[in-house]
Amino acid sequence: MKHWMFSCKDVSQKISQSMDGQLPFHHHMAIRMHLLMCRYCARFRRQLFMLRKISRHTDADLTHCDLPDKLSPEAKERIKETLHSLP
Amino acid sequence: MEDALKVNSEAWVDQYGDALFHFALARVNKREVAEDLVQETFLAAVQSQERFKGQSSEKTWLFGILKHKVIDHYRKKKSTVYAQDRWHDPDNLDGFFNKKGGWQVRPQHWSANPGKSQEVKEAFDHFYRCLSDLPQKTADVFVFREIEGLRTEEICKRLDITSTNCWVILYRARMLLRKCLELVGFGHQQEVTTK
Repeated sequence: MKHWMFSCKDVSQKISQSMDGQLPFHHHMAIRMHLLMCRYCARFRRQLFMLRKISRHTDADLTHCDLPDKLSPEAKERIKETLHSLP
Repeated sequence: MEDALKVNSEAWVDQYGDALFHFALARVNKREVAEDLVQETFLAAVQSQERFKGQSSEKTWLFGILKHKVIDHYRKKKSTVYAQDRWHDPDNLDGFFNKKGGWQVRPQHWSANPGKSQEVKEAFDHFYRCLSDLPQKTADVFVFREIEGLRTEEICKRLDITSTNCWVILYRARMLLRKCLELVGFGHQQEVTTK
């Protein structure tokens, strides 16, 4: 499939590249035009961003009390003992 | 070890233990394994404490170590389901596109919604397994960029590679991970292979 010069292969590469840095403006435009006409590349783009969302998902911002899963007191003691016994 | 360091590392357990455990459990699904990973994280942190330069917060630093421990965990177990010979040649992405540059196998619709808590756990499991299946260097670059959020310039410096090389590796990683997630259940088998 070819839309506005870029093939799906080109577009997939440019989408990935755009996630890591700046693309020239005309590349952005060419990608947008391609995506309007190619649902598979549009899907691909959404999936790469979903991949990013999963990769960067973190519950690290939850405060102590919000956490549904906590270390058991026994596990905490065990870890402390292990740390304490380090040479 | 200095007494002060011991006190400090034990205080970490109280301060960050639960958050690290919660993060690990969401990704490995077994309490014992998650506990072990948290313990390994604290051990590694204490042992490499002099390398912690205070550029990030203690918490960010500990989470950084834990993320690598989670990936190592999946690397060690290398399940056969995920390690099938379906990557084609991981260094060659030609199989993804036909000669005209069109999709050889079109991206499928994904029904997964990792925004929901139960689906997040499932997605993490698939994601880390797929990640551990990537060639080492490809996975390293991806982890630096997407999990640790480093800029490509920083990654190039750390790994001594060019920015073009970095982009190529990231593209490859995304293509392979996307494909793997689709194969393990993110996608719907509704498209047919087109030549």
